[in-house]
Amino acid sequence: MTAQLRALSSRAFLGRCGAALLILLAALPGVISAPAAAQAAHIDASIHAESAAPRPGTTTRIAIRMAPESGWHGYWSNPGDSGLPAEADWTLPNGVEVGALRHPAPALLELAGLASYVHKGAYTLLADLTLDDDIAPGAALPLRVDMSWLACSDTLCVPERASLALQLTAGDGSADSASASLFHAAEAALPQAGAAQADVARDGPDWRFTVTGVRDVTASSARLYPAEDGWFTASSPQHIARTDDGWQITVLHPPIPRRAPFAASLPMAAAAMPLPPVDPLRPSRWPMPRRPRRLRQTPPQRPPSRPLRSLYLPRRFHQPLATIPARYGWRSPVRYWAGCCSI
Amino acid sequence: MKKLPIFAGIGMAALLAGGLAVWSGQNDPVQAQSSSGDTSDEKALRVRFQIQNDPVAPTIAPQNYDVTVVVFADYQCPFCRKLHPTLESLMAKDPKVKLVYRDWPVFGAASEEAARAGIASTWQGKHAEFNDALMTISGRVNSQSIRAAADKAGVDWAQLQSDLTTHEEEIDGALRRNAQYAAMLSLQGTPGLLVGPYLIPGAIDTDGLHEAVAMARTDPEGVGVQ
Repeated sequence: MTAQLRALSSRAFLGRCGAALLILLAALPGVISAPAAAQAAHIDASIHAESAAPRPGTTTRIAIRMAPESGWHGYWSNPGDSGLPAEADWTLPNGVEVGALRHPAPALLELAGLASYVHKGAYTLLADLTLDDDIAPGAALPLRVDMSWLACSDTLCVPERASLALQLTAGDGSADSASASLFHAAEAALPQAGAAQADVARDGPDWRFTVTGVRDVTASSARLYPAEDGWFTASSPQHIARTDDGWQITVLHPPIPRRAPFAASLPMAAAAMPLPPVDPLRPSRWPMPRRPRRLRQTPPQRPPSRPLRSLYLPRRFHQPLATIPARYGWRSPVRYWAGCCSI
Repeated sequence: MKKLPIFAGIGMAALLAGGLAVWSGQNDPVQAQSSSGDTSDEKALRVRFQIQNDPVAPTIAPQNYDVTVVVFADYQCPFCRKLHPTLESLMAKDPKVKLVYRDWPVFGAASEEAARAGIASTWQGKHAEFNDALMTISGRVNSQSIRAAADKAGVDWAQLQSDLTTHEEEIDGALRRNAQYAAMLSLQGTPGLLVGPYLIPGAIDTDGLHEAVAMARTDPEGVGVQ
């Protein structure tokens, strides 16, 4: 309001600049929408169906494939100390439901004392697609999802979005052979139920997780990833040690956690070993009772890729604003802005 | 990004007013410097002046400063948080740098809440302390951790809430301008720095920042790099 009043009080200038203002009003929306429209996403998102003809009354799956440019990463469902996970806003026909996106196990990225749980390299999010049984065979099932996510490089974080659409037809549920390998790999990368067991207790200022039923953990690189925020900061140091029948993971000096159910992923570094998440713990009182917990186990995980550099030092400055070039292939907004106001 | 087109209509008046105010300014050092040169450069300098001067955006302006650093940042952006001690160190070592905090919350609702609180703390003179506390929040940024950061920084919470309400339109306007200027600089995301005339779209280390400031002193119009 203050600014508007000031605009009105500058009536003399409005008169002088009348023509320029009209041009400015016309031009500005173009300037503003240009970045979103003209810049390619740093993470390319695509949508795939397990079956192009899902059968009414059954559940199949949808995959969102996220393919970052080299040097860029996306975030896990619990992004850790900073970051944002991908969000999906679905537009679906009647009788069709899509479940929550399931992420593959994350990797740790530490920077400036902040730790984030990220996906390095391409990753696939899976969601269940359920059709009511009263959907008529042959019915068109247009799916649309507005995805938004955060893409970060070594120096920059960019909010990105994409609208993805898929045309399915209610049918016999036959699997689409073209996407079979994608779904197979995505399923294999998800944390899955297994034989491991876990127990958690407060040990002085620390959390102590005891995991049994998992062998061949690489102690130097294993890490517990909590599925929910609120148990310990992602940068809390973790120590893993062998016990008689399993492993003990100590999370050192975590801040006092909130009372939240606990679930976690424990990716194992050895290529052939599983990565089990801890099932939700729902403590009825505090501190938590020592009770055995079921763990889930997952199939093999690829060996960790090259660690991201934790520091990147750009040394090249860009050209001065006064003559800033069209760096991204569209007209420099500054020049545009300046040019629009000349009288 | 999605909100930007919406900003266009509402933010227009603020921007125009700011622009016109600058245009008409009698004490505009950039205008004084730019008496020669071609017309479009003068306009661009004017835009740069607007980006470097804001009635609401928190600013540290020492007397006789000779370089202005504008930082576009989000309290949840890891690289902004990495940049934070670098900026603090620059301000501690270089008494002739003016720093303008242009909060550009692109990480969602918690970021905007933190940005609004940060800006609102200027009315009680606590921005420096609060900004430091917000940038060094351990763990996730949310209402609780913002409150804890305020306590740590000695911010009067009741006063902050009152300022958030009283000055809501000014804060709205500042955030709109920040987003506009970020778009005009073709910043894709956070952080982004404008050091004198030099745009650095991303984080930078201490040496690099000092080098940029030195360049802004020796070549304040970027003539040498064109």
